[in-house]
Amino acid sequence: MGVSLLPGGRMRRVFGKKAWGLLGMILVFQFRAGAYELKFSSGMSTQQVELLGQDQLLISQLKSSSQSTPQNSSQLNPNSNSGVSGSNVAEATFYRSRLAQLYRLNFNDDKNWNDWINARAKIILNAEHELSENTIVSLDFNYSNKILPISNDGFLPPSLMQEVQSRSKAILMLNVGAAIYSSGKATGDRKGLQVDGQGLIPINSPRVGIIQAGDLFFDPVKLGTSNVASRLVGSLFRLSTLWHEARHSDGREQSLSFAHAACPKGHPYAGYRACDTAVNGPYYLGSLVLNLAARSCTDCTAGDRDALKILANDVELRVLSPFYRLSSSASSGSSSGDSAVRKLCQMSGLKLDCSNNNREGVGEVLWDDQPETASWGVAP
Amino acid sequence: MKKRESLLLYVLMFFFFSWIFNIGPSTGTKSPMTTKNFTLPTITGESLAREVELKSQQIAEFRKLAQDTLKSLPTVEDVRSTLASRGAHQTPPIVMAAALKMKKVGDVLEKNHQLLKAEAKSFYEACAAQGSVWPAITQFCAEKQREI
Repeated sequence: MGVSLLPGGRMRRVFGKKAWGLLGMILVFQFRAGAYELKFSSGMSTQQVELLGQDQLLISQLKSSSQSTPQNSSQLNPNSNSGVSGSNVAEATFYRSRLAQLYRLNFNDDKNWNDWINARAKIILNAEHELSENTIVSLDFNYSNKILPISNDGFLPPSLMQEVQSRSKAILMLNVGAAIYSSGKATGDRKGLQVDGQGLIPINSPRVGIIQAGDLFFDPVKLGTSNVASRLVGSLFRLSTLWHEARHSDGREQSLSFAHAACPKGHPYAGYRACDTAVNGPYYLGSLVLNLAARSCTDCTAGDRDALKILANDVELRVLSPFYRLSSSASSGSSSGDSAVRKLCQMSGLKLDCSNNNREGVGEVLWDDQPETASWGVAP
Repeated sequence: MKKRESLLLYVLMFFFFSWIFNIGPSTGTKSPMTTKNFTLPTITGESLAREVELKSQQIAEFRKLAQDTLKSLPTVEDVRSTLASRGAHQTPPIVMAAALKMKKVGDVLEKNHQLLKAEAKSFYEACAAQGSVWPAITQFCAEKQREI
């Protein structure tokens, strides 16, 4: 089954009257606020596609209050108090400015966020979709540009592919397109992925936008968000996860796919590649989306906002820049004044060195986010 | 003599019925009996007592919720023990579960902020001080405590 939700309202596959009704509602919304242009592997169920459509409606909750349309999602949370306080408005403005500054992303501008996501997320694979030599095929050889990112723990893209294959079912979401591209580039072997229901997709760029949902992503019971009261938090969390994954479609050469770094010793996620060296990577984007939702969501209860802030904290603590420099070189710190640094230093569970007072002269670590375009050599 | 007795009887009957039907001379002041039968102060006392009891109950319920939540918050070790199977790429479900527990506390607090303010402050203070608890949660508690 392949479904494509296009701005013009074209639907490639029909799967029943019920789905027609709901997708019709989604398509109606598309004319007002734009939409994801996602395609899906045939293993995706109708409910999973519907869930993504519902999540997408919540982008209205990220807009500034004068532009938001809370009626689109109010049925998700009948107990919402719509209380967006003055301090929340001020903080939301800060998060919006960070999104614009670091990601050129503006949720108040439908065209902007549409173009942003649609350039980076294109095909969603179901958790069970096979990723093996049966589906990943070699197309040709000799990639002229072989510059690759090396993780701070010496991790190389070929290992990333192994990790993708072993872990893909156990996670929330993974940008497998970027992983396959990086892996192919490392071996000089351009790849293609046979996607169920979509055919062979050549992996010519990290912007191929093939993202696999893990078993947790579409399972509110396993995620713990199945009851009505927690549905809104669950949806906003999924939304931020998709945008995180979309960011992995950016970057080139050393910054290719914004590969995650190993979290340093003393960090809660120490030993896992679950941190970002750059401040403009996927984790900070995810935290900004959650933090913004916590401040601007008009359909949220006070408790929803609290939960979103905790989830945002969990993502934000993975952003090592500029803290990373502070802890790794111990020679300098940050002058950015970013709240992320202050928060990391305040966290009682962290054992990182926050005592360095010389914070002049070192800014945030920003990676080149221009996408890599394939410059393949001649096939032998 | 009979007339006198009759008049006296009428006067006595007048006072008797006045007393029975509570219709004293219109002096503008209430008779001691009327004041005695005026039950408003007694009712106000009961409703106040009920209100106090209700508030105490709400505080006790919130305290119980807060204590249970505090006990259930995942430690760094708890979270890390789940990472081996699930990886750490995205927020582990155990942290999501904790966030939803904190949501419950936040929702109850919001409904009765003035009454529960002091209890809530103690709760978030205690939470922020839990060094072993997952830092994303303690950080939130520290901010919330300052906010309150």
